[in-house]
Amino acid sequence: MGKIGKVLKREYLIRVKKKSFIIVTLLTPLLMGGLILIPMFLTTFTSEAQRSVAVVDLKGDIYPSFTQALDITIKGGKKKFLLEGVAADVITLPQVKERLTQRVDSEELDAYIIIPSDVITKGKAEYYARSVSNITEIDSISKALNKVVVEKRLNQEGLDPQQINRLIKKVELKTIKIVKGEEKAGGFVSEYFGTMIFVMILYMTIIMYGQSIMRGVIEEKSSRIVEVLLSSVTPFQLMFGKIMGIGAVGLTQYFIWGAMILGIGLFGQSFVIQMGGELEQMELLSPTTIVFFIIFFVLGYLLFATMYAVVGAICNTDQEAQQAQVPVIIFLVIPLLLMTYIVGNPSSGLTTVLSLIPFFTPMLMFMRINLVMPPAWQIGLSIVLLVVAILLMIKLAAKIFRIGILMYGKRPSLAEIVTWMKYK
Amino acid sequence: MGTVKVEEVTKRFDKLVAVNHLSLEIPQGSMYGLLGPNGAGKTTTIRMILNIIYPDEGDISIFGQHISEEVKDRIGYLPEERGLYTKMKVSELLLFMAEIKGVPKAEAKRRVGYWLERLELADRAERKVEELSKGMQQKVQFISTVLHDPELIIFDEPFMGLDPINTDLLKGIIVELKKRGKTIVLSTHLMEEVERLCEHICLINKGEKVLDGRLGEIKQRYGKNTVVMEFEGDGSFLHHSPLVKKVDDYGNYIELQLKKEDSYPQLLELAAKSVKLRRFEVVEPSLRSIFIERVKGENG
Repeated sequence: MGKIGKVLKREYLIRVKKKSFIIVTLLTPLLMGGLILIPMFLTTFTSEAQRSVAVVDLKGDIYPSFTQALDITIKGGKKKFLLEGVAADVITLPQVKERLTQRVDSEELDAYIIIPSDVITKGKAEYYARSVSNITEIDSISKALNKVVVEKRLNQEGLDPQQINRLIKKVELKTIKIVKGEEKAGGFVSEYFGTMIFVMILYMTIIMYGQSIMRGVIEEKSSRIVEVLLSSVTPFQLMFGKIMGIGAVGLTQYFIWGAMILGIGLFGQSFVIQMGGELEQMELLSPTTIVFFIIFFVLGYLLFATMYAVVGAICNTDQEAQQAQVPVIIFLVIPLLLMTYIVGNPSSGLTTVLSLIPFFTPMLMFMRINLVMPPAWQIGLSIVLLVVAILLMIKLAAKIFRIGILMYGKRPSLAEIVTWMKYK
Repeated sequence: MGTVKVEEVTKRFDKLVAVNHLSLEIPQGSMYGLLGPNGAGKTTTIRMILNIIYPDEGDISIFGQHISEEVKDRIGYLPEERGLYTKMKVSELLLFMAEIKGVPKAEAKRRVGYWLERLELADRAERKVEELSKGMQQKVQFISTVLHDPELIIFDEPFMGLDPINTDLLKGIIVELKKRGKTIVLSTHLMEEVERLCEHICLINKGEKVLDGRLGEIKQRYGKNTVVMEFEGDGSFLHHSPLVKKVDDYGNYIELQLKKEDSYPQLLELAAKSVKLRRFEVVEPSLRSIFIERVKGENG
């Protein structure tokens, strides 16, 4: 193992053995999985319960049709809504309401509905309940009532509701993506969010590990250990060993997350199937996506990690570095800002050009690959350009790093940094 | 043969010339004192020897060759600016330091154990560096310098901040290393230590060499024009005497330089008349006064 290897090993072990690493690595997927699974779990649970609802039908002939229209059943074939007709007229209504309110209050009833006599013309009814936030339940009640009222109106005009329904049937647009001549189901939402999640992970991990390098360099500088190290290793070995070591930490974390997400995903699938839910084909984790994700993480990381190493080398404190890293962050944020445009125009000339700029390639090319597979030569070219940029950046950074890391005091100006690059 | 050979080396930082056409040779197996006032270019010279920074002009060779990874592994360096990874455990840190010097792991472990024992730090091996006192951290740093059994060891202010007991402990080890044939470079402001330990010295000022050679020869060159006196009474006559070139009052005693080497009998006569003399000794000049004279002479 060469000296780069020794530095790499230290950087890797010191981070992986940290309690905070273990906690973050284990908790993040659990948290994310929890965020997805818990609501799923909860909705399945709540929809199990029967609801008892009283109906005050002031018009008189709505209630029978309404009970037919609201025929939702839950698991076990039981009716979801237990309806109870309550007789009342305009005069007794206040007393009836008072009684029903008490019953709702004492949880004997879940809700009651008042259908006024002019519901056909005015189109208004009232729903009283302890909670009015259960949107799916309220929606089914509203839909059933709506159906009954509309049918009544059509009948009054002498029209056949079934015929009308046939005539005004909506057109449903199903979106199917064509990938290499094959059809794949998937819509805008899954496409957009799937890409966004990956790009965000790319963005956050590059920043996270980049800053870890930056802080590591500053620590070595401010603790003055750097001079001791440089009597044993070259600045390049130190910088590169650090970048590789922290990169390895990133890959380790991805590997663990990948394994956990796979586990949670499988569990989630079996859970949904068990609950009798339907499973939509998820195209989020195709092997192509994963392969390109790793390629672009590694390359993007190398480019930005090198830049972060330079930021660390020219700064003396974390506060100073917070400011000095802004130019680096801008390069990372621009692709995020361009995202909406790219999603809308995944193959335009501008998109192609932007995705070939090495600073943007990791995120933009990855985005394009997820949306519409670009021509192979474009992917190849972008990777070649990115690798060339990384090599140039490392060469440049090594020069700045070598001088900056031994400089204390005032942060150097851009002009000074340019002179450093010219030193032999 | 010189272990380190510096030839006509110049280093500039922008317009400042930190080291100017400096040449020196550090003999093998010697204890070599590198002296100079603050900002003279000592640290820059050391950094160039270690290839931490590169000279603009000139040539440096170590063990008769240009610096390489293999050469670096044969050098130990204790910088003036101490630094350790404070969050690491003492033993882990030392293992790392030995490993980046190319010591195999098993051997490194054995040596870390030996040195921790030797410097009375064995019970702190599993502690984090930041939990150690400043003096203990110094000792850890010292261990990291000698752990890989280097042939050339450069100590920059090795005794800084240490109490007399630990100073003696480290001094003993340095002397022992020298006896085992190691070449040792000592850069320090403590003239008394250099006088006691070093056989060769090199004095640099403003990036240039002022004085260089065997300590004994240098002192001889300065001749026997130095007198140390202790007395009771008013010593002001010394300042007016035409015999005296320079007076250094150290409180408990006075060191003075005569204009002419053989004029000390006249001074003794004068002193005996003026004050109650307790001590009158003709000596070689102290390194301290040579240092001050040369540096002040240059800068003044």
